[in-house]
Amino acid sequence: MKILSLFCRSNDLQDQLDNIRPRLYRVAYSWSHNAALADDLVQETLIKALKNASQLRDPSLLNSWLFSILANCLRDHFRQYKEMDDIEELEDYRYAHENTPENAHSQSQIVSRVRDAVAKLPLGQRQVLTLVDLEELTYIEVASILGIPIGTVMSRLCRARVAMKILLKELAPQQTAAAGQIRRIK
Amino acid sequence: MQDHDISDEFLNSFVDNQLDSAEKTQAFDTISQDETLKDRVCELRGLKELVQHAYSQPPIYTRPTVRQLRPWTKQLQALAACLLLLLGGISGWMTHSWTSRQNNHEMTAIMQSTPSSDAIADTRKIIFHVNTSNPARLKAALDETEGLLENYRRENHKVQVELIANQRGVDLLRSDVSAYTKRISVMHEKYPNLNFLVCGKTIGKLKSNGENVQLLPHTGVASSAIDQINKRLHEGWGYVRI
Repeated sequence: MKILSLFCRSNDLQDQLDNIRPRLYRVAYSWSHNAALADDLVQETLIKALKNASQLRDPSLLNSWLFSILANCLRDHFRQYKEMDDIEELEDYRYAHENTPENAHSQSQIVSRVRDAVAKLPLGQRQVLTLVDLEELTYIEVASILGIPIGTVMSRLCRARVAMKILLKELAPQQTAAAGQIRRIK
Repeated sequence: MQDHDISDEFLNSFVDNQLDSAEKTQAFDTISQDETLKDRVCELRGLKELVQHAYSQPPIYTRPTVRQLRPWTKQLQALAACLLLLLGGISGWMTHSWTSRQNNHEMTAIMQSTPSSDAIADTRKIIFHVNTSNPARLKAALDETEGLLENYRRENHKVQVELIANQRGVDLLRSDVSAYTKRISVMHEKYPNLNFLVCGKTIGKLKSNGENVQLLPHTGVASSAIDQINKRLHEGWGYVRI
């Protein structure tokens, strides 16, 4: 049976990777807020996972292992394209479009507001927040995935949520004076 | 435990279900007695659910379709290249036998026809050119011309042929020199679509050298062989040099 399971293992792994792919993509997107980049990162993660499948001793740790590969891929990406990511330009882009009707509409949508708020968090806080909230991983798992102490996970999470509260208030659509005057008459 | 004693970290751990059983029981007791704590927990839970909701359906990224080369494409390309090479080799070998010197023909055919014209589509027009008095070449010129005319006649296709001679090739059409006087006469009778021409410049040169040039009957004189060939090529004729 053990021999049979060895043969089946590679197929099982592929099935598991197929199943987890949407979750990896969701987290990758929440980190990068760029669909193309998220897709690339997931692809790279899966390639590395298949290549280094033998390194995974305990199959129950597959999820944590994959998310740690994803975190490494993102770090490598930023390291590789450090000179190309112009933060100032990104900020200009945000502010240049602040008052457009499209932006006003998207601001009114809760999903966009939350995503914008998450995007404004520092990467470290963003990663902890999304791993805990989206994947519902334990603090210990998150610490292991990101390679940081558990205390740092807790403090980053705490700061992230405080910042989120403030950002969501800032990003909430401003009620216009006219809108404020509308009253129910019946 | 009062509100100010409860840290944000502790509440986060409570909301994220990171506390052990004893801690959780204690947290429930404390929170249930404090409205402010309830609000804080509620707010944190709401925030957590908001984040989950925001990413429940991330935008799907569709990769631009790229035509992927199948693994065997390279082998297929190599095979196709080999076949093409083989085909080229075979056709080269076959045409070599037609144009080689050993075949005693040395025929360079430059088919510059323009088949767009209707007249050409109906009637094939070919001009043969001979410029040497080499008996083998002269014989080849007549053989090729006659063979061509015969083939077209057999297949019931229209053809118009001219044989033009210049330089020493005019010997073919000189009654005083030619070894094929009778044959040319027969050919002329047999094929009304065949014309014999000589180069006017060559004849002029021979005459100026004091030679008495006598041409075979029905032999035409073109102003110049080159001009005549050029004119025919422009008209869409095929050109065969013997």
